[in-house]
Amino acid sequence: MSYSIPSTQIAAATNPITLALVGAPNCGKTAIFNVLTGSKAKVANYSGVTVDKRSAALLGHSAVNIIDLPGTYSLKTTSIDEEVTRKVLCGQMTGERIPDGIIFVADATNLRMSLRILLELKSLGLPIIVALNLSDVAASRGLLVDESILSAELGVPFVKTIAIKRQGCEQLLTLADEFIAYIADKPQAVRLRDGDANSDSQSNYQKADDILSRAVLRPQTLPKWHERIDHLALHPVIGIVILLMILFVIFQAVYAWAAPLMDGIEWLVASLGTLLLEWLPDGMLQSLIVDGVIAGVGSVVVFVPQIALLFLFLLILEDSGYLPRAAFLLDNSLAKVGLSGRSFIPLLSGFACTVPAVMSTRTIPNHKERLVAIAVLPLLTCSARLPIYALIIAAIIPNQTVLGLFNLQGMTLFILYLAGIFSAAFVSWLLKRFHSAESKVAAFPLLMELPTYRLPNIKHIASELWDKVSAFLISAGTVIFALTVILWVLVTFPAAPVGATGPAIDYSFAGMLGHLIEPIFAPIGFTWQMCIALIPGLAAREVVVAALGTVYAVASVGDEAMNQTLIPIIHSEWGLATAFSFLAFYIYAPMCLATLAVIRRETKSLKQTLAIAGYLLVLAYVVAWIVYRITGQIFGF
Amino acid sequence: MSVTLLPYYPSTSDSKTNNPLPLYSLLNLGKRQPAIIEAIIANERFGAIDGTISQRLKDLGFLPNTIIQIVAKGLFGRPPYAVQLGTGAQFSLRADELLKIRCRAITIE
Repeated sequence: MSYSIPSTQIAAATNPITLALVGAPNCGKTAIFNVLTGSKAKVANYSGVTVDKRSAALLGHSAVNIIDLPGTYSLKTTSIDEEVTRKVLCGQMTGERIPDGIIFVADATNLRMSLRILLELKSLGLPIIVALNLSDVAASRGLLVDESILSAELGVPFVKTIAIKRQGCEQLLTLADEFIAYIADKPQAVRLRDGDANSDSQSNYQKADDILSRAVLRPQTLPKWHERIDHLALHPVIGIVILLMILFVIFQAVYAWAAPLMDGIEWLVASLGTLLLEWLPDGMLQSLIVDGVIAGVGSVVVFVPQIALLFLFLLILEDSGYLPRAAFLLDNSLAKVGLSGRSFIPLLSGFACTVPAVMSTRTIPNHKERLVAIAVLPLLTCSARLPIYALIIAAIIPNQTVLGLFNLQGMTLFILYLAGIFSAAFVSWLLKRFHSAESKVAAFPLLMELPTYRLPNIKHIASELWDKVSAFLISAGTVIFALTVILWVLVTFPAAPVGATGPAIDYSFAGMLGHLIEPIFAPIGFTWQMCIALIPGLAAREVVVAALGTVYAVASVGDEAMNQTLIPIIHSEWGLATAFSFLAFYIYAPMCLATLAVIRRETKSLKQTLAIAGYLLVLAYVVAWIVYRITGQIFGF
Repeated sequence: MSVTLLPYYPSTSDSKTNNPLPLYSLLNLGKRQPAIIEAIIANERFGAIDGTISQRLKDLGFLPNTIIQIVAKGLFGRPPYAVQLGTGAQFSLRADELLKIRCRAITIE
């Protein structure tokens, strides 16, 4: 590299330095990123694509920026994410400057492939240092490798890292310091080649094998238990049983273990509300803070235990290497509706709460599939629909046993769940048909790696979990907060006139809106009271129950008591057709603002969010209409 | 599993197996039957992206002369299969990808 450098470029060496963190999927790259930066990733967007750009300053070097590039097996890219990595490294990404150096994360448990990628990266002509990650796992499997030989053969410095251990990290940080000093000393890197053209995987593998034959003193062997576990975990019958048991525990956790925490948060929010009621003078400000702000923020915070527990389990499954195996087992069934095994966990999470489920679609690598999964997720019966179902079922379905075995109420609930599942399968199948009509060829295959099992890294999981929860609180929270305040205005203003007899909500904007939309909902049998209740119900589905209580002027003491007084009212005031139509509407209705906010955040597209909300609303209306007409014909309106 | 590359192709007329045609598409290979990859071939189902997929398979280590075996199949032996390379790396492949990999059954003493 003996180029004569103009002096102006030498001065540029004091400019901020950008280092790119590159590695294959499953190599523990994110853990290394956290080690290098102290877990303070800033998330932004690459221009023109919906790929997250994670970057942060290197510990102790505020002028050194590290970008965590999407994981890739090769520079011959096959997905949008991988293409981002290639473009950034080749300086072809709009708005991104060429990195000054590469920190490559090699997987010690898969040295051969790591070296092949490294050889490919070397052809780019950028300075490289290598973190030989997972060296503890590889060593426990008997691998004995001399990294000084690797360094000498490849001409780049290697350092063994164990992302959980302090020792391995300090060496990496020291090497990074030297690397920066080297880059800052050196004039601007001069781009030599485009890299892409000349590297052929066969010859690179041969080179890698050649180097490994000298550097590896003892190869790693997978322990016997690993093979035995895989024998069971990948078995078409036993594997499914194991998966079901794992899922049972997760669901138990998300439903039951989270409940006391959620109750605790609700109690805290309520107590804070009561406290402020006493502190603040009566009036608009009090109402805004207590009914708007506190209640609004509370409705978001209450999701946190469920989200945290769900993601805790998902991260453990992902980090231990089990998640791709679950995907393998279910790939066949999901392929029938155009999804893959990867969609399974997000879809399942949808039964708990759509919000974390939409967030967990990030584990789906294929963008089209991810969008389809997000689109059908709101159809799966989330736990917030249960209070609505429970109320209406108790009001209209007799509590009797049919065929000596089945409880009629329980069966109705089961059918409602099934309706959601079948609708999701149908919509996804339809989208697949729609897509395959465009192109006859098969889509790019998954080629999913089944990584070796390893002990989850607690530090990594803790920081990822915090990332997820804070992302939810900040992004979804601000939107929901704003929307709940708007809703509060709608429900509160204008106040009921003095001496009014009806409930106050009837005189508010929400009440006016309810009356306004009544003609739209009349064909599906909704009364004006129901229409009004729909509006505060936008905040969260279960709020509809409380809103119905308000509209029917039920003085509620608690949820239980309100249900007991609402049931006879609904029983006498709603026809069967209306009640069934309401149930059908809520199978499909997209109106939980938290869901829409999180879809907007995850798709990064208002158009797609509106399209999803729109199709759900149309579906809800059409199905409710059909149900209303049919039940009306049979039982009378 | 320390053997990764064989310096020669195993003989086509393998006397130890009764199968007259020991050349398989990976889709037809038996579970736990060691084999050696012969070639990555085209699959017209993938249309224009077939070349990219062949390249990716090679990048992942599906190269001629590599030992391969199927470690798990789906219910009733249907794809996807979990496939293990001689290096120990495992992948889940669907039918269309399996069809792209031609291999020859071998016996390991």
